[in-house]
Amino acid sequence: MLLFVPETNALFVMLILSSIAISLLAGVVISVYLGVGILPSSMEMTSHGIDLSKELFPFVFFQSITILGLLIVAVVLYISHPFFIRYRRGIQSLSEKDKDIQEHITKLAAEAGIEPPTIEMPLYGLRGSDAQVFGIGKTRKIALDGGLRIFRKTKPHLFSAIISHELGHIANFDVGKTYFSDALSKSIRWLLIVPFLFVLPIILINEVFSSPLNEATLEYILRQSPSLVVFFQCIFVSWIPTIIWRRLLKTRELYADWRASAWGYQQGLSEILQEQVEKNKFKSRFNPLTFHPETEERLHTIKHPEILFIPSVSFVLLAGILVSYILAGLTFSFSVTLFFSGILDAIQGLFTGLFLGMHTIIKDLIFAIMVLPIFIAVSWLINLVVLSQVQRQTVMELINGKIGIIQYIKLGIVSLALVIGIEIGLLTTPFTPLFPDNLSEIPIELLINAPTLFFLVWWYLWYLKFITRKIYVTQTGKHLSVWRNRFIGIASKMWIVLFFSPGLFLSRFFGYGASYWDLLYISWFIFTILVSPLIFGVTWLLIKLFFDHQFIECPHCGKKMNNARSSNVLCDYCGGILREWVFLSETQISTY
Amino acid sequence: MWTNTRESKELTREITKDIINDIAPEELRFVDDLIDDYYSDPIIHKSNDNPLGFGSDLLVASTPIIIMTLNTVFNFILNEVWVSTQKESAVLIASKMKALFNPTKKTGADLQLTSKHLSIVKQLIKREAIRGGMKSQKAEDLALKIVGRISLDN
Repeated sequence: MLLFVPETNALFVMLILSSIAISLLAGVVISVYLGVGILPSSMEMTSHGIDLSKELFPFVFFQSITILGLLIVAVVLYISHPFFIRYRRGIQSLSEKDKDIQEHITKLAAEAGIEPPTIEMPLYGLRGSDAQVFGIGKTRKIALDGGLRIFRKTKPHLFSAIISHELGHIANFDVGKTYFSDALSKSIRWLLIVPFLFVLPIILINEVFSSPLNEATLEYILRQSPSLVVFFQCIFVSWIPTIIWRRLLKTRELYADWRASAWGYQQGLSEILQEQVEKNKFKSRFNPLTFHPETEERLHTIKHPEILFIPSVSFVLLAGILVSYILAGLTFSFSVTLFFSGILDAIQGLFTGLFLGMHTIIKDLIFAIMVLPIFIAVSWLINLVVLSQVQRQTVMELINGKIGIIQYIKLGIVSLALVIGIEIGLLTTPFTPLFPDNLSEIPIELLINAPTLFFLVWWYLWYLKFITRKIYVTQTGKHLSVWRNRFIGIASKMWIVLFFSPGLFLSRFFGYGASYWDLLYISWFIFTILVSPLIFGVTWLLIKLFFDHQFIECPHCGKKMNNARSSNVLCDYCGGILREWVFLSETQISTY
Repeated sequence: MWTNTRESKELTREITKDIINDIAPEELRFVDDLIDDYYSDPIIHKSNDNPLGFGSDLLVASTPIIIMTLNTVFNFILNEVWVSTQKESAVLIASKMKALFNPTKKTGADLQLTSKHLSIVKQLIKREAIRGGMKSQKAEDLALKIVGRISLDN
């Protein structure tokens, strides 16, 4: 049972999108440094025939080839991960002598209400205490170290805690996503980052030493040379998937721990992690190659699960940066459109009649096909990231009874983080035509585009928080209603598609001297001002009609209370607890 | 090296079982399996950080650690204290070592350790036990237990 949009899902999507974005950016950098192809201007959408297509071909080719290469390698690595795990850990299916281990784990899985996984471990050996869930598709397997044979008999409660944590991953549906993310981050590292870290410094050094080193040369390098700027931009861009990957690893562990705690293994997990913390005291603190989350953090989260409900500003900032990198994909969309338009123009002369009419339609279709994925990707990302943050924050506030206008005003921080992220992303995108490159355009970006975006996001967050609170506050029972969640999801996506994403897209072309785009931007602005309050009102009406139960009956005394309220409140008449609430077990509720 | 001989392994097995009985009785029924497992590959492999695993690096059993520490103590005694005995037969060394580690038997005067030696042995045991993954307090207990057996003889 999923609680609400899990953060691991959002991170998984972020990693996939960042991989695609980084591939496209790598394609741009490669074609620019190889001196092949041209970069299309952001506003220049007029086809110039086959000559333009010829010039654009290398650019489109390099972008396509990097993205394809990255995804193919990632898929191969993902498919082969069970093989590598088996090889590295020396594991195989359990033999007859270990069948009681399978029985033990099947029992734990049955208690947790999930399909029992298959267990694999070394045929012999009594060392190690690690476990790892893996598998492709619906196949789920858990790899165990040989030492767990002993552990199961000497400390069965700790053995069950470790296994429950792994079962937590299965229950959270994060296994396949994690291994695909692992494969993606490996392919990014080896196909893009490592070659870039070698090639770009060589280009930079070549620029320095190709001319005599004097003050004028240095000034040229610092002020004019794009390599230095592009080098730092590339480092920053390459760093983003790593940050997302680390966060994904951390988040999935914390949620699996939380899940195992909810199944009753909080004590066992705490004991294991406490021992780990004590052992770590004798180890070096700083290890840049360690990707596993800090044990202290895991221990702290088990003791204070409310941490999982605090919205993360850095997470939203990261999403903002990524939005800009996805937007940079527009360059690819425009290139492909122009490339095919050129070909169509060239072959136009060969046909007459019907084809002439189709010609424009085909061009528009290509444009739509190429731009739509970018539009969908941005909307998808914003919906996943922001919705999960707002949902968690709302749950936390309902538990704490903090309901008021201040909570809405505080959303301004989240909004600001997203906009700052978008601006940082634009600033660090190599060779982007979507960010001001001269002084006259910067005030437009800072005084018009950024503030408009800020208020646009804030308004969206108000809407989201309003509907989430209205729907969650009347939620009864431990399991969140699918329909309630679906309603929130649809409302959020509709708002993004109607107001947010078009605004974000059009803001990239506003104020650059193209009156067509300026007019579209102003039209969108007026549309948002007029229509969004209407949508707000209609949503509220729908909630009132379908979700807002007017009365709640006390399960103890049977009396009805007038208004629906949040859970865990007491009956006005008998003082009994009205109902258990979604998301949290009774044990966890009592910890708040 | 004497610690690789059959006599040494037998003595180690005997002492380990005694100590396990005191510090980790729940392991007693698996001690033979654990000792065999240790000797099949005596090198302690450092666990690699596996970000996709549980992340547990717990001490599964105390038996391998006790064997490690005993081997370290044997080596120290043979190399630093009883240097002359290195040329003696494995059986004779085992007999002397057994006497040293057996609190119930009094032994000859040539098998004495000074208090300074005992202090070094204690430190060695503790360091080796922590290296093997034992918690500091448990390593201290183990060191006291082993040194206690030696000092009882002297």
